[in-house]
Amino acid sequence: MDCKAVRLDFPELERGVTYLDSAASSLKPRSVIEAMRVFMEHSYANVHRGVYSLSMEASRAYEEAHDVVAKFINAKSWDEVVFVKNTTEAVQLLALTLAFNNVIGRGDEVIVTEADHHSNILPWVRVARIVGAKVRLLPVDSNGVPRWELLEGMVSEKTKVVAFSHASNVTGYVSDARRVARIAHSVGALVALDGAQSVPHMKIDVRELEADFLAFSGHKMLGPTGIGVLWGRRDILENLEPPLGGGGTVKRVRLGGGEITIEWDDLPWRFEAGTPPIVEAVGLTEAVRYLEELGMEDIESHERKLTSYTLRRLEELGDKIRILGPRDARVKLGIVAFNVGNVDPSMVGLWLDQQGIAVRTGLHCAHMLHDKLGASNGSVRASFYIYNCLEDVDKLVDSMGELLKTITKQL
Amino acid sequence: MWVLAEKKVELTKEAWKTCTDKPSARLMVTLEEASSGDVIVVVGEEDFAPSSMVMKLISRWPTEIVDFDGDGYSYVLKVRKL
Repeated sequence: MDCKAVRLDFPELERGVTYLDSAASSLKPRSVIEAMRVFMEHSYANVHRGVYSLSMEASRAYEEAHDVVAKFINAKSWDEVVFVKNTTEAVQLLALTLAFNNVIGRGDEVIVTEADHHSNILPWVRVARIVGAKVRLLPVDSNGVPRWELLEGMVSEKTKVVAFSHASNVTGYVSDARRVARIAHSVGALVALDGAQSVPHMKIDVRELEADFLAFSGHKMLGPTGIGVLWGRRDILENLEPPLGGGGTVKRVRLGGGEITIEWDDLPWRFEAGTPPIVEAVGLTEAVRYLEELGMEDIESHERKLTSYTLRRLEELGDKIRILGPRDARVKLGIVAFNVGNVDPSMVGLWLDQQGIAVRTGLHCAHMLHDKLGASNGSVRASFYIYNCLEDVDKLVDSMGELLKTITKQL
Repeated sequence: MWVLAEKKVELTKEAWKTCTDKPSARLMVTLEEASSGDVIVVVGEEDFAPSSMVMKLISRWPTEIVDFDGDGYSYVLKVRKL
């Protein structure tokens, strides 16, 4: 993959920033920006409600987005794709749906891991509290890697869901999702994957992974903010009522004998209450096309090279730099989090910003993981994407080298 | 020396209370919002916010160091915005 050629498609890079914060949100290529602009200028209308040409044109574009996304993750059909706001909302919707339909009830268990983003922990904790179920935490090892070898001993007939981050947003570690799915399925539990950090960076085949649900965000994969995806197996979704009712979710509402009866719409509409993210769906379609043109295998390979190079170069700076998580680039993808002695990570972030480098600092919505890693004040996280080249890593490491020289007496 | 106002920023572990309340962000905002002539007092811990690093960060804004007092573990830095 020619990262230098790719960079030319991203106008924001023209301001000279070295952008190493794609795990938080990716930059947008011209084609995505342009597709949304053209759609808003020429084809915008609300979907599914009008018989006029413009509304039908908008509806076609919106439905096509479901199909494009479904093919991207190798879903069986387009109607397994539900558009939501982001990954957080996708997991929230799933947790609420399973509770609302008594899939999770009193005495049941949901398993998540200590490595997960809060978005994959808090929705389950809240739902469990409401229905009287229990959330169990699979522990991590000293590198922040989930101890999946313990899962077999944790699951039982009480386990209804095993939910976990496919790739960690702190360490970048990629879990073996299929292995987890097989253990979960052995007790009849459902498998919910948080794909926020994996779907943008590697080829995802939901059937090969044997997942039941997958959540991810458009804005981390070149698309706009305001659109995310909850994918679910059709045979499961079609038997579930949505927890959120409203416009666009029903075929018919009737009043008979003083009772309101609701006939829910087909998939995926029953789960997309209210006017959906129409323009955002058009942007996501274009984002997926852009990624497919580059090739997800090539993207993954490119990011592994960047990750490996970053680990090697940071290690050259000596033991004052502490890398969080595994140091083996073969098991992680696109993310390197680190600390400089006890120095406040956000101060390091300010330092790097002065050199034109954008990184994320803090606890990255993974407080328990940072506590476990002995980094309760957070970490500095560099994360990569298709528009990053080895030169970006050099700039990061050189700036860190300068910082170490500046503060050497205080360390 | 005349002083329009004195603002204090603590760059200490104790001041780091929540994941959204970052001392570094307060330092940046304080410097950004300070008027010419304002003195900013930075109280810091060397292992958490090394003074040499803070001085370089502060140089991003038009400032002058008014006073520095430190014992190797903690320090008080007075900076005037020009």
